[in-house]
Amino acid sequence: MKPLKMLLIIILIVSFVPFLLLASGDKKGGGADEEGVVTLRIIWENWGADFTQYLDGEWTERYEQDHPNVKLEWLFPASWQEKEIAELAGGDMTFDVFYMRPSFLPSLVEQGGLIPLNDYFEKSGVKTSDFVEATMRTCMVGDTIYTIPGGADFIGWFVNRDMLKAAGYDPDNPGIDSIQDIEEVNRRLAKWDENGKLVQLGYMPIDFFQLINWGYMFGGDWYDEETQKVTGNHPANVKALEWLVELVDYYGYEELLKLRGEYAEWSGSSPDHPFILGFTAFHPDGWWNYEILENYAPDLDYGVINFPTLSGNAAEKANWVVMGWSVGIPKGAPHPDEAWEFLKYSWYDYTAEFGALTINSPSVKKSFPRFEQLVEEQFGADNKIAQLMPMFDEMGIHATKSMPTTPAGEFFDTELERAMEAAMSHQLTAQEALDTFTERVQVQIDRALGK
Amino acid sequence: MTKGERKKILIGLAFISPWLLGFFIFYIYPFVASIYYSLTVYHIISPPEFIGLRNYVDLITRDPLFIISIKNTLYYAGISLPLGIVTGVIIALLLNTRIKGMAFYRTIFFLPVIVPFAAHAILWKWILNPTFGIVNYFFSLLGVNNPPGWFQVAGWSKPGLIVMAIWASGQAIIIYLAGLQDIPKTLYEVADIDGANWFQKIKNITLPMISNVILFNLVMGLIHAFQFFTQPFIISKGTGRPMDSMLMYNLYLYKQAFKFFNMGYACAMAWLLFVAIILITLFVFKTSKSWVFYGGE
Repeated sequence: MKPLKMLLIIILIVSFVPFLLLASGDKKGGGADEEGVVTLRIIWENWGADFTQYLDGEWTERYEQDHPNVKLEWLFPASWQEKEIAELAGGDMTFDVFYMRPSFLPSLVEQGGLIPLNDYFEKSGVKTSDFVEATMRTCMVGDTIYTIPGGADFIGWFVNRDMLKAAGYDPDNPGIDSIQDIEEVNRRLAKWDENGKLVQLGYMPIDFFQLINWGYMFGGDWYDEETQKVTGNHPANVKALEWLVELVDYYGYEELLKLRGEYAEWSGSSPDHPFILGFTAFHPDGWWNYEILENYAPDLDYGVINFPTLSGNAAEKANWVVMGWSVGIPKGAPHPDEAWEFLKYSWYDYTAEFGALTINSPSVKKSFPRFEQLVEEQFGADNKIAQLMPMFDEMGIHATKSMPTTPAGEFFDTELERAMEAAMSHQLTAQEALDTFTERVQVQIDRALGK
Repeated sequence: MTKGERKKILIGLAFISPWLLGFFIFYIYPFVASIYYSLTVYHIISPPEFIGLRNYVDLITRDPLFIISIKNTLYYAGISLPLGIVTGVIIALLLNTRIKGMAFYRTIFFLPVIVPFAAHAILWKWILNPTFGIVNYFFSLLGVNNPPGWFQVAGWSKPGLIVMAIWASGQAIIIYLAGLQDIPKTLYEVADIDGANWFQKIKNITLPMISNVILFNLVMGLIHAFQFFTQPFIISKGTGRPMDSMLMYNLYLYKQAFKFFNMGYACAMAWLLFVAIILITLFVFKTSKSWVFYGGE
């Protein structure tokens, strides 16, 4: 055979090598056990470099010190949902721990993606009543527990104390407790310039979390888990949306949108958020918002008040909504027992420590005092957010409502935003908007359930 | 076929076999598999369940967002394409003149093409920010009291996308420019002798002579417009808001597949898109016989 032909044949054979390597794969993955050492592989939401270093660094070191036979290996993909779905679809599970959010859990459970944790809870003496009721509910489908509550998102109202003072309020005790108080403060704070452009306002209720919250506050509900029916057009939800539309009409919807700028999420962690820029007096958010304030608006004199209720009645605090995230064990996990031990350690036994390190409020009620103490130690007793922490924790004590967990997942949220937009821009009435929402989401849920 | 010819063919196939393997694995298999998945309910983790044409029926009869996404895509294509062609030809004509610094001007018009789509979208989000964007600032200097809300209001979000598309039409401009420079000078000389003015020259010489280039850009522009995704995805953060005004067809397909994990449904959408693009492209080619002039004819 001619040398050139031989050379070309060798090149041809070598070019198949990548395909052969691809086909062989690494079935065991990073969870391969060295003698006596278990490696737990974890898929986690990417919270940014500052937070991933706490998880992958300090928390891992702490856990591995207390558990010398366990190694933790974290993965922070761009999309944790897609990664978890891909791992489950692959069939040969190499991960032991899955991060979870309420909107994703039902669809994963529907397809058998997570293992039930009821036995683990019972054997370990962990009770569901130990957790904030609202977050515990998002971890369950019926009576079956699929995840352990992790971080609880207690939402307070950040307030601009200077704006309140200028409007005649006592910034230490503004007395904004009910919807009538909100209407009054909006009237006092709203300002337009000589061209009719909105330049200052009070409460800006244009995100779906606000509607979920006020729907519950007015006495409504969003989803019946037993019948698997969407109840978006519950009369109380309609009343809540009508009230929000009235608030928005006072300012003008398009003017609000222009002022909102880039703000598209309820946790406005961006330097161009209207609250950071000094346009709005209120911003519902979690305590982590202090970081944005310290970095981008260090001169803004802010405070935090409780989320107002319908009539300011203390009993209505039970209708507060708590969001959050949780942690579960995927179906086929190679080390479920060790994974449970990690879950219990991080989000039950030492959840206060985890929360203080990663800026997450814990979901275990008895851990609140320890958490407040740790935050004070970490930030200093003089630190404003450390002083305000009990106010956030109060939400955890009273709140019983959670974000609706449906098999429609994110479809529920996007459709609710659409309903709000349609009502606030007067393309539809509140009733029509929520009727449409209910119908569309039900179709999606039925599709997800194979009906 | 002789033995020698057969041997040559087999050796040739052997040498292109790595490419063939990749082609079948990464193109043909997904292409065929998606036809099957479009006839199923498939959420990835659980096995696909055959449901026949139900996905297609649901899309057309039970999904208002499908109709909205088609309308948005047609709106975008229907305005950005003709506007892009007219603007591109005009700018190419200007860039085809002999003035000092022309290389610099051509570079300036081409620069937006090398900006990645994601950076492009983020840049224009700031330029068209209704509160502190530079465009509305200039409007305020001109005394406009109620400038557009751009990507914050439904009525102005698609015009904002169209403005972005026109800004980035440098690639088409360069192609038109190449076409213009290919026109024989003798045609213009003859026209001058006949006393034609500039408009007559453009209408009777320039446009017919670059009509094949316009056809190329039209077809490529159509395919791009129907697959428009990156900019609305980034600007609306994947939601298509406000009021679904930026919910383009491909964005809705992406949401069905990767947000709601309705893979079968998304495959059905992909196939409808494929058929639509084929039909529209065939239609354009058919009608092109009446308005495209090829120099060899």
